[in-house]
Amino acid sequence: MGFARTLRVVSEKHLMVAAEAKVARKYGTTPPRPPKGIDLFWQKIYVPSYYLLPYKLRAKIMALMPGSHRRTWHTPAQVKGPAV
Amino acid sequence: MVSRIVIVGGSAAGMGAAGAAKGTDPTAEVTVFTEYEDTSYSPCGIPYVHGKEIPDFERLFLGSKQQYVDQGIDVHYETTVTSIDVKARHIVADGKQVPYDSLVIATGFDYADPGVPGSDLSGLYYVKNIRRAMEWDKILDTVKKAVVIEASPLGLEMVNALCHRGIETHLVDPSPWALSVATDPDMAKFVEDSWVEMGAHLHFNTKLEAFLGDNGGLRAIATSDGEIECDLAVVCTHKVANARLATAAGLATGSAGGLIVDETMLTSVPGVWAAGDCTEIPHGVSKVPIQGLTGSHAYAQGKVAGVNAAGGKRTYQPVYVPWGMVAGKWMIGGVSFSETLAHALGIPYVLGVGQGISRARYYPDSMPIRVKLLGEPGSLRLIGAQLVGGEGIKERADFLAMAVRTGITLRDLATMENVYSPPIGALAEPIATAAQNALSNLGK
Repeated sequence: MGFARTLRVVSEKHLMVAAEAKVARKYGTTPPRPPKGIDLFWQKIYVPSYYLLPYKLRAKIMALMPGSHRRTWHTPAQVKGPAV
Repeated sequence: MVSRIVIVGGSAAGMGAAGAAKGTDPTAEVTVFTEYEDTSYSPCGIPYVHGKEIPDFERLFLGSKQQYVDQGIDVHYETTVTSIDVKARHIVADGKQVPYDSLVIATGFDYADPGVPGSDLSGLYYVKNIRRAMEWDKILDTVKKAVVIEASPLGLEMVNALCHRGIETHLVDPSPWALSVATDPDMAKFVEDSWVEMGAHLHFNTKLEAFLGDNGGLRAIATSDGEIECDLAVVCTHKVANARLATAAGLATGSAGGLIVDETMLTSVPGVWAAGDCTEIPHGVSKVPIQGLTGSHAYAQGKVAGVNAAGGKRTYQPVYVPWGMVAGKWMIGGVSFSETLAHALGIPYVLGVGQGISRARYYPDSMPIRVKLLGEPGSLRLIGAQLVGGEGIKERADFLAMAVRTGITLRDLATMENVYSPPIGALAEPIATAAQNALSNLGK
């Protein structure tokens, strides 16, 4: 697995765990298991650091990663005005 | 000169490409290679045959082999493509070189490796191929206890199927609730409660550690919470792109693990297109590329790839991912983001939840529908939705996907018109109710 893929897989896993904990607290449901071992680094250091970055910067970093999003994708223009 | 179009893969994307290519250029030689015995069937129907909702596997076949012969599409069954040479423009299949002018790669997905000992034991079922499914269906008649590994979309369907079959069913998932990548716990709870009513045993926050066996056959799984005895394990881990052949040929993949494509489904190599689960497509709201969509996505992408491979011009678009399924005694679905996924990405949102019914209150079989809408703060454009109810989920998910795609706001939805006819719709539309509640929460 390349660096970008590895970073994405690990980020997704730990960001989702943190999000599950937050939403579980909101709804009073069972949260994820507390992190152990190396997961402590990701949950206690990486995840809070990720959210400290402004969204625009995070989006820019994600946009720089290799992927289909960097190829041409047009959004169809919305036609304005009355149909008749 | 006759154009030679070769397609690797015979599922939804591959056969979509084949038909579209032939339709675009009827003079083209269109050749499909599949490693399997069949094409043109719906693997998505397999869980419902296992669950006895569909009486037989024959109904899953969408067309006959002769139909492709009649259409002039040359399908090579049980033929493995072993390499692709993009410079020389040929593939190698069964030891023979097959030249092409245009190539479409539709190699689909693999299930993520559970990565635990014992994965070579018999008694592990990966739902994919209809012929294997026919064999497994006979085995299910002898199974007393089964484990479903992970509450993925397939996992949800297989829990239902096995419970319908009267098999003691255990669902094991490391997440705290079902399908947590796409649902929130308040919505998933309806499904989970109904599974318990159906007799399923739910083991969330539980990590698979090993498949355990005697004499090469499965007898139990080991988990973080102890052993669960079973005769069968249905492995429903998430899908990963099967892009090995393409990457060996030098095609580029992205951070989602899928082949990089543009809106024409063209890969990083001229003359080579790709479609379906082997690709990654940008999400329409976040622009993050994602992989592992549905059969309808794969088929549509295949048609785009096929048209373009045959010299036509068609484009695909970023996806907003409407999804839905029957799970437990409910239908559950959504679009784009759940609250959990929005939090994971750090995307702010405003929220509205509405409860309604699917038909007039006094009409028989009227069922509850719960709608959750996520909007962008400020503009109030819809960015995501979740739905759970007795019926009417698919139509609403499709509609809300278009709403997200076209920038419809919570204000638009709060004042939407809706069909009211006692057998098919209630006076108040729960989407509108959810949007009105969102505005009310905001004091607007």
